[in-house]
Amino acid sequence: MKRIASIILLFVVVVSCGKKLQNPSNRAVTHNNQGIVAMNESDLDRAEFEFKTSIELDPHYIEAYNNLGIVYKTRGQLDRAIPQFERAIALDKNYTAAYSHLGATYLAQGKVDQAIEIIKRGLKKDSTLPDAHYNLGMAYLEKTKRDKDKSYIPVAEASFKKASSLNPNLVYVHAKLAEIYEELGDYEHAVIRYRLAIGDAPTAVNLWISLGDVYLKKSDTAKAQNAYQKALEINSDSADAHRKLGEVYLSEKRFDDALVEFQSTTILAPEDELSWFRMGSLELAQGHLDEAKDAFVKAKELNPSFVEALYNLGLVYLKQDERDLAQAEWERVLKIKSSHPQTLYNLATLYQLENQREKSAELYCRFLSVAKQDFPTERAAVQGMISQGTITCPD
Amino acid sequence: MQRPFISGLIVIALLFVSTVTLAQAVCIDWKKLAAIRDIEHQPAGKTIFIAKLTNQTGIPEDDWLEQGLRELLADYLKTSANLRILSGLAEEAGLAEKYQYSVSGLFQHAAGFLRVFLEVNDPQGNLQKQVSFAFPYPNHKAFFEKTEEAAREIQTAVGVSRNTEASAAIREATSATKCYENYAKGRALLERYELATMNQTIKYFEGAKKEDYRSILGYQGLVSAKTWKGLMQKQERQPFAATFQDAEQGLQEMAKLVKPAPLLPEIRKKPKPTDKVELLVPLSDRILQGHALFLQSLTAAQKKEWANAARMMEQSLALVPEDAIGWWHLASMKEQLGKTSEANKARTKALEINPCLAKEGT
Repeated sequence: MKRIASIILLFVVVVSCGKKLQNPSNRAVTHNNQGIVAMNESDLDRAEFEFKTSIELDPHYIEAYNNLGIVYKTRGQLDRAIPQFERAIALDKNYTAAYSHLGATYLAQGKVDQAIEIIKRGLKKDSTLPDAHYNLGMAYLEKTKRDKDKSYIPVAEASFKKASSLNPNLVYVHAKLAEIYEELGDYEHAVIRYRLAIGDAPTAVNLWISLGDVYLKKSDTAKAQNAYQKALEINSDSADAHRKLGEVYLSEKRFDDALVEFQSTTILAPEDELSWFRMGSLELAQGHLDEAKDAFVKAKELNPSFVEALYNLGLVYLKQDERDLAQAEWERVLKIKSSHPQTLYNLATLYQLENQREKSAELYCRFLSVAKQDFPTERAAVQGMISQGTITCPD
Repeated sequence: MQRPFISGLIVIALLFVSTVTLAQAVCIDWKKLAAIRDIEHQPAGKTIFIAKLTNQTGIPEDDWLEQGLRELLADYLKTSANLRILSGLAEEAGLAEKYQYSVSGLFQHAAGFLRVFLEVNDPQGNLQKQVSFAFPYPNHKAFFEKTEEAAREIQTAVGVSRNTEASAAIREATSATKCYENYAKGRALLERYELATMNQTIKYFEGAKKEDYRSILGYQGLVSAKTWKGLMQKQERQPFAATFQDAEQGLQEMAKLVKPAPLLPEIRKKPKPTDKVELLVPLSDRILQGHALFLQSLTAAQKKEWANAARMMEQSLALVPEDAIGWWHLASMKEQLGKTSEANKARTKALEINPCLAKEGT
């Protein structure tokens, strides 16, 4: 959703910052504008038709090519988008917006270096387009992920900051910077950026929730609670806000309040597996095994790949003395995520209880290799078995 | 050398209808015939059954995806050179009982995204692989790309080959999910093989064409629907010439309008009955080609050129083995040539397909 929002925002920016028209006919301009209206109404078919009409009327109408490219890009038709941006650039080598969009399209294709190269080329022509700096920042962030090289993060940060300094009212740029800071653990700056974003979009529920998340990471539960409550004031039907508030209550062991919030989320967003998972975890923590089981089963139904829900469901079964069912759930977890440490350990223990020594030893060894510095008690137990010669792990 | 087959088509077809007394199509298990052919024309190797997906969110507008996503996934998987896929048609025909793996799954539609979960299980129900993916929906090309990726993961999981070019041809057939939706609805209806629903089937394929007139899907569906309709009309003693003619026009329109796609087979402007037959090339419709040969065979038979007539009928039946009428004619032609044993074989084949011919066929 965030991605879609940013695409729409980008579009608005491009339309307003686009280069002056090169004397297209009034009729061509009219169709281009109708295309923009259709685009803003998410009527992409109509928008495509209008932009094509505009191009038919004036084959040198740069913005119409650029806008047509945006339509294709929004639909995921990246191969079709590229020639439109290229055409716009061919018509005007200084049309930075088209470079920026072309770069964003390459980025969507996973061609990160090509994206950076083309956006930079556009910025050499005109370095005042915030949109281009934003897309460059996005490209560097992707490069960070792809190359697993954090040295690009400051470059991305600088690009976003540049975009922000060129236009301090770009909500999505503040939000992206906040995300970076949050990722880096620089919560103070993350809060500042979310606050700036909220300053420009005070009714954006997702921003309030993100702000609350940062406070929560800072262990400032009071401020987190305030932020989530603010989100609920804006939209009392926000399932995310109810869930987050429930998490705050859970952390404060206010079980009844947490349960009310989680129940609200399951009613507002019954398809949200996380809400069911949270509710299940809450019930489990209180020893309400049947209720916990129902909630985890629901979470599993909604997302059969949700390993944490499957793992917890296994725990519930174990507590209910349904060992076979617990084993089946945990075996399933390992099919989905073979390195899930808790499951490796617990299933190994189950196998051990059933005298399935080889299987048990194999899982204990796998647990040791994935647990690294976590789960010190369990690691110590396994190491104890190794030193006693109960199990042998390969080097 | 060969005259265009449309010119003489109506006259010959009328002659044919007037001279043969035939059974009703209800005697023919079309679904089974089509399913058998589909299975036989897939490569030998591991077999996967793909079950209908579950629309978990329950939005009625998404119901078509239960079958549509299933068949899209099946089409991608069918590009493997050593994998046999059993999906909707095989299941409907009761031929999806033996397989090494099954794929089942569900989808959810919320907040502008479609989320899909697939499971690959062995026949005992043991999970072998789980695949999940999400993409903006509708109106996003990721529908085709993500499903292709899922198919690739499944192919890897079960250890079969991949054909990236064939897979890309499916992916690039259209970018419009609305086009594919119409195509999938039409295909689901077509695979019921009922004359009564053929007009609705055709409407869906027309819809696919309307949504993306440059895509092969609508045209391909239309040609298939019309040729099947023609074939079924033929067995039911209904006029069928115009239906085949219509199908041929569809093929010509397709050759004119469908976007050039290097990964798709070359588009033929017109089927040439005497060309070497390429059974699995989608653009040269086998039923249409078979029909052209059928008509030429009848023309030869009218001239009492029995050897020539029988040869062309055999060629026609190689393309359309479901044509009971064709087998029946071939039996008569073989009798004229004094080949009683071959005549009996052809007649037996005709009766296997349409047992009612025994009562009405002579």
